[in-house]
Amino acid sequence: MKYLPLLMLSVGLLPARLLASCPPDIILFGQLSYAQKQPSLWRINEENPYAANNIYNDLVIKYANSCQLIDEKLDLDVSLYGLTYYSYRNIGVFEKDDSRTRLLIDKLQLSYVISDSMRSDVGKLRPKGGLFYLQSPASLMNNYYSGFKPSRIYDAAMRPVYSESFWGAVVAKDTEKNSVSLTVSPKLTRIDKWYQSSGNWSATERSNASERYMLSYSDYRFDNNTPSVNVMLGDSRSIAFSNGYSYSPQWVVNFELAYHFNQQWRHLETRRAEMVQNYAFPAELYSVANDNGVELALGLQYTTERFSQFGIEYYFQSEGYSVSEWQKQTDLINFLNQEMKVVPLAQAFDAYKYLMASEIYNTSSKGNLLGKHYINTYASFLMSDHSSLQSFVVLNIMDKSSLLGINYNKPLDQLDKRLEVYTGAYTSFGSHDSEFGLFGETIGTYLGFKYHF
Amino acid sequence: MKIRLLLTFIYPALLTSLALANTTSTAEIKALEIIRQSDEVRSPNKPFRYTVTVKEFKSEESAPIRQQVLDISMRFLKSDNGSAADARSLARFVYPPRNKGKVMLSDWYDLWFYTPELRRPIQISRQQRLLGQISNGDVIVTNFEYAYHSVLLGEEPCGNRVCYKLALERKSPEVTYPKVIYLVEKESYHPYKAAYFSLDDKLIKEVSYQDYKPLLGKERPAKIVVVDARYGNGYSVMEYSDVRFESLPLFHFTKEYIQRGGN
Repeated sequence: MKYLPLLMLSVGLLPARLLASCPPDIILFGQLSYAQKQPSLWRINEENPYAANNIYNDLVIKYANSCQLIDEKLDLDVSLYGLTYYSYRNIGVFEKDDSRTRLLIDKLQLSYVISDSMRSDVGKLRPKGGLFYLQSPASLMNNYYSGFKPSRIYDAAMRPVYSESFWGAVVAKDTEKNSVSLTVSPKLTRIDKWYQSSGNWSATERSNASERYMLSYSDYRFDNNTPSVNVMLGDSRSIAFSNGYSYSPQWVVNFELAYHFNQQWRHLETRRAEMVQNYAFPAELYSVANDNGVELALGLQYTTERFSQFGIEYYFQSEGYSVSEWQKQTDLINFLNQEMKVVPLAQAFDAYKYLMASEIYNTSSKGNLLGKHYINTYASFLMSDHSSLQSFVVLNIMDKSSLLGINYNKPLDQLDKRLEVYTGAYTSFGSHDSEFGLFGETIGTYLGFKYHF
Repeated sequence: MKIRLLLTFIYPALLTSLALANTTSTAEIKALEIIRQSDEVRSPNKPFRYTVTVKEFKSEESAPIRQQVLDISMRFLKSDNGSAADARSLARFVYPPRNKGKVMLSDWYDLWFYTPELRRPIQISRQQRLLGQISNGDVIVTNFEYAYHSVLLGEEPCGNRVCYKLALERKSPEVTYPKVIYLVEKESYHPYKAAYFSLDDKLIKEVSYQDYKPLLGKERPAKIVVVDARYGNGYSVMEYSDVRFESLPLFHFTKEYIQRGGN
């Protein structure tokens, strides 16, 4: 919210005539959802920290505009989201947000045309995504989730918006033969509230808590292959390769490989976990080690002539928890759940549980997975009436826990060409000590609308 | 319907007779000049941008059954004084609002479609280009000079004027429509009508260029009517507005730019 004055100033500086010539894109999302959660390993005050079932109302308004400030030289691209939600029942202590209303600056981008093939973008920018739906190793500019904990808008268009965009600059040279770009994202703050979920951090903490410089190169000179390389420098160093091989316009094989010079997400430190189990109380339990790591993703995708899409992806990360490492984590949760007669000790244990739950949540909220091996399958059908049906199944191969989802979107052209409705369901399956079952097996359903003003 | 039948039957005969004749004549040179001049009417030799409103009609109904608005950027440049030729376009979907963010990029004969839901631009195959009453390629101007071999068949009345009649045959299989019978008004070189044929000489589409008005320093068509032989009596109208010159840097027409959200 502290960037609101800056935003208002930049918008206020625009001549009224200019704004009038740039019609905004305004969309209202409204959604009713229901979620049911099974009890999990976690207990706070000997109670389930999640509501067993609840109904949520979500409302989101999007404002987007794109204007030429200087004809054919300088563009301003703005995209803002206002979010709010209401729950019918009290939410659990692990699900609480500091505020139920939030403003997201998704994009505040000034683009300057340097030459016929070069441009520069400055402001709050959205990183380019990778080739994979589940996790793209070559996508190195990942930021934290900015939405609420218990509920979110499930429309597909909102998915990228919930990942905070970053303040920074890009200089890019794009030609038909190749593309080269340098992205700079400065460190503007540091994260010290690891005991809170990322949605409760400031937007800058979600996006600019580390110093990042990324050099990217893509080559378009090969008929059927599009190789790319990304090099990340700064607080974290990585090199990533990717290639999309088109066997035909319909069949595409995707490949991404990343080598990291240090861990990409915070891991439970075994030594500190053992300290807690010996009634010594370290300030932190999780950290990033300077261990090298590898990420690999392979995918096969088929796109029909009417743009329906089907695919299967395999993902591996060397830094994912092994079975024994994961066991240490669940052992610690079980240890902290034991009944404590001494009140200060019970409070200390509860504080550790908040910390652990937030650390695990925040690892996921940056798009990371916790295990080593995954399979993802997805299908997206586009119908002749412009409705669409999407589904996915994600399987953690090691612990057999899974995520499933299905979403149906239909424009209501007969009623109003600006109105779309969507509905769907999702579920997470797995044992109490599995990745997707750790916070309780969940089943949810939703019904929403999207209105373009 | 009569015109369609006429063209269907006469076109192959004309092509055959032309093949028998010695065609390395002034007729070919003349045909090329006509095509060049008419290409210049359809599209100036400078980058430009326009809005096209596509309306689909059923013949018995006055209101369109479907409407779509696209914002189109064109770099349609012919080789001139040592500068390289270019044929790129970018079609941004504007209406219906649900289509915002979708983009179609053409780079000579390659066509790509991008929607934010897909991870990468998807190449549009030749079959896909023909889908729909207005196909993916129809909203973008084709460079006839580079895409087709042309032969002047003669002259014939068109409306209250006289037109050159040309037979066009594609230079490579990458061009969407194999054959075209093209009518261009004499003197003004205004395109009048183009009939598109399949390889086996079946009429696919008929396109009429209408509503000529001063646009970008020249009389140009502001309305194009497309009758698709596969859709009975239905037809589509493409109306052009907000036509203007823009510098349109080359990087706008790259897949990378689209993926970075530059659309």
